[in-house]
Amino acid sequence: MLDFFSVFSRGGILLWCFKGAEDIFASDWAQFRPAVNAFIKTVLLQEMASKNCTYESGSLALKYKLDNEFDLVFIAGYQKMLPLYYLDKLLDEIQLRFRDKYLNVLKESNFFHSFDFSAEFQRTLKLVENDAKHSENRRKTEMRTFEDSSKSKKSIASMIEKKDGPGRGSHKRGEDQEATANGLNSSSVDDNKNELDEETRMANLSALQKKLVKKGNKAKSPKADKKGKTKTTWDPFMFGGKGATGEEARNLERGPKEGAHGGINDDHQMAQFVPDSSVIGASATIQQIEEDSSDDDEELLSRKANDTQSGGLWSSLSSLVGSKSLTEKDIEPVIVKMQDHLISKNVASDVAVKLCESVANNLEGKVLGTFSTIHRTVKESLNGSLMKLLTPKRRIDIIRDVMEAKANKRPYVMAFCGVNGVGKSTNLAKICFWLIENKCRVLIAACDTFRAGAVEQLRTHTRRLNNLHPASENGGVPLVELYEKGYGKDAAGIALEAINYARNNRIDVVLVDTAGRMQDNEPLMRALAKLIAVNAPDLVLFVGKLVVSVMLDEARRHGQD
Amino acid sequence: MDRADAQAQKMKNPEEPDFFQKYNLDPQAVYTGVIFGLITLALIFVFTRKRSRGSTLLICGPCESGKTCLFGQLLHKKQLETYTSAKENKGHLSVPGRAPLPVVDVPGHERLRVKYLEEYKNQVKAIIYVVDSSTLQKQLRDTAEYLFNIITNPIIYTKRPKIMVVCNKQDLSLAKGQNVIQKELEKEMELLRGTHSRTLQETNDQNVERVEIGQDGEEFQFRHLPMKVEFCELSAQSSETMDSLRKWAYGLA
Repeated sequence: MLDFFSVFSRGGILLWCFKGAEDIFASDWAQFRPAVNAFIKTVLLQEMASKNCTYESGSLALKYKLDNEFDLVFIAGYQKMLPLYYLDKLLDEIQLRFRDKYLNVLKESNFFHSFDFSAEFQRTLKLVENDAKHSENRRKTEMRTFEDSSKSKKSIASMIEKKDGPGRGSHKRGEDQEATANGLNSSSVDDNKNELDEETRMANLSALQKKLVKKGNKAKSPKADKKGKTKTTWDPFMFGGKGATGEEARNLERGPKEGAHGGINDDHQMAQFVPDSSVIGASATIQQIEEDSSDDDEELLSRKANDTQSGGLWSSLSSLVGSKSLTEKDIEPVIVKMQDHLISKNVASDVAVKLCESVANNLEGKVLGTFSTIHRTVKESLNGSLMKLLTPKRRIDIIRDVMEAKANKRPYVMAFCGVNGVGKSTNLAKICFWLIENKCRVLIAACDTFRAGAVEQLRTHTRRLNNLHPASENGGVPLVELYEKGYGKDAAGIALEAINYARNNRIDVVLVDTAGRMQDNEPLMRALAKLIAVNAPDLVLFVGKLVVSVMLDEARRHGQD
Repeated sequence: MDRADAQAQKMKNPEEPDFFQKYNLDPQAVYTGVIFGLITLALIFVFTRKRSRGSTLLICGPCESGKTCLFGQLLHKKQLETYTSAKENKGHLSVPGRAPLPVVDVPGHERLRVKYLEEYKNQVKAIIYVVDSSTLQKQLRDTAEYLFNIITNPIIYTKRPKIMVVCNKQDLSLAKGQNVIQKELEKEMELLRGTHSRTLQETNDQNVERVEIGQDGEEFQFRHLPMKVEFCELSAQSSETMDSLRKWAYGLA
């Protein structure tokens, strides 16, 4: 059941909420606020909005809908174990009703109005629940009709494809019509059967024949229902094609004229060799076919119309407002263009697709300003999203962190990683210089135990750096030291030893230099992951080249490990 | 000579008023045009000056310190249930006898605060900085750094907004008093003052001037700042504790 439903503004003001689980698990209610906060932080602020609009945290699942016109968020919470199938509909309904009811208030974005929506909500909830139940009950029949209609269409289409298809089809339909007109259900049944037989014959595969018949049977049964045909006569026919003759005879008795015309055996032959025989009343029947198909369409359309009625109401409302709100259709081409643009600018395609999806989600329903085009709106939105994403979550103030670590009597550990040749060791030396300028004692751990000369390079750096600030200035203690254990050893172990050494000698900062590695080199990445897991550095610096796409991929893969 | 002069005069005279005739202008239209131009220029000048002085009260502070709640209490005397803000909240504080004061609640989330602060920094008149008194110990660094960044923002610094540090959530049992909070913040800001002066220059914009705050050779104190920084204790859950803040806000308008 529905545990929780709330409507809040993007500004974080709760407008109205429904607490379903209040009486059962009072403690459950307390879970929702952090869950919603977590939802906002991950989904809304990190542009992780996906198409199915769900978010899970712990045992709770949240389903949400964004109203971009008024900057509202509708969110429904339930236990993950008990998924609710009518939630989409509920969210839509509530959104429409809520907007309808408080249109004026929302237009002024007066979120301090007292929103008393409970009665309306209960009514809607009941309505939707009942609807869901109904549809569940109806599901079987409805599904069948739908399948059937498509399949029947198929069969008609296949018939049309044949040379004489239209004529044949029309003939059949015509017969149907005649039959109904005459009140002779049986004859129409015959016709249906004829049609089926024709299909099978055309296939010319005895093995497939039965299958097709079965399919046809399924397909036809609802039609029969519609037109009030008797099923009992119908079913045995299909399954036992040969044994049906007796019944057929009866049918023939009932409807002499048509029956005489459409005797089974005759019909089979006719269908096979003389399909032209069905020219009877061709023109009229063609119209009827169209009518029939249009009937089907009408049903679907009416359903659609029911769906869109509310939309129509919306559009009229928004037209009153004077500006147009964006729909998915409006946005899509522009979004696709943006996506291509991003990809062409070397952004990894996954990232581009996700980002664009999220932007589209944020834009849907937004009202266009009077002077803005869709393109510009999309671009601005994308811009904002990117800005939001690329704003670092924490500010890095290394010296402050070093001081903190010092106060806790432990060294501050920085690890450098990246692809070969991007300048890990070089940057390490530069940062080391900055640190010693700020009066920190630094230990460099040579954990690149692979590349020839890596340790020697660091030794040279160390010597140079120590020359800048000679040990005699600092009471005989060198500011920079190198911790090395030669080549071929386990990097994680060396780093750990180095950190312990630093702790014992009260060195402030440990800079860990790792071997360069490609992000898709599995064993090496695992080694790096181990190094990081074992030593838990305070800061992992990823040194990258300034080519966005490659870097994103690299950083992501490095980040994963 | 006289004749020639007279002729020259004659030649000149008809030509003198010809400035308007030459360009086929109606002098009246020209004068009205010039006057209108001047008026619009004056208006623009006044408007921009008003802007530059700033008129907005910003509510800042780290995430989940109770900004939106305070916003609701201050503006509508209404207790709100709130979630994390993904967007700023705007409103007007109606001040008795004066023009209403625009108030903006800046989201406290790390990804958003910079963006919205940039957006509203030009209009700032005063700042309410909300601190969660009950979790100060854990959040001290973030809280202090955010405040430090606000104060040292070059544009905000030149505008010298009044700052009110609100020690929120006083209803909770572990809440710290305003004196403790002030001391903790000053201590942390002193550290930040040291570290920030030593940070590396950014590569993209080298012309950004650094604002140095406090006095050399002395521990940082809020009273060293050019703007007035006050502290108050309250709980946004109860409207009775809001009076002092409200009075302060009324004083701004």
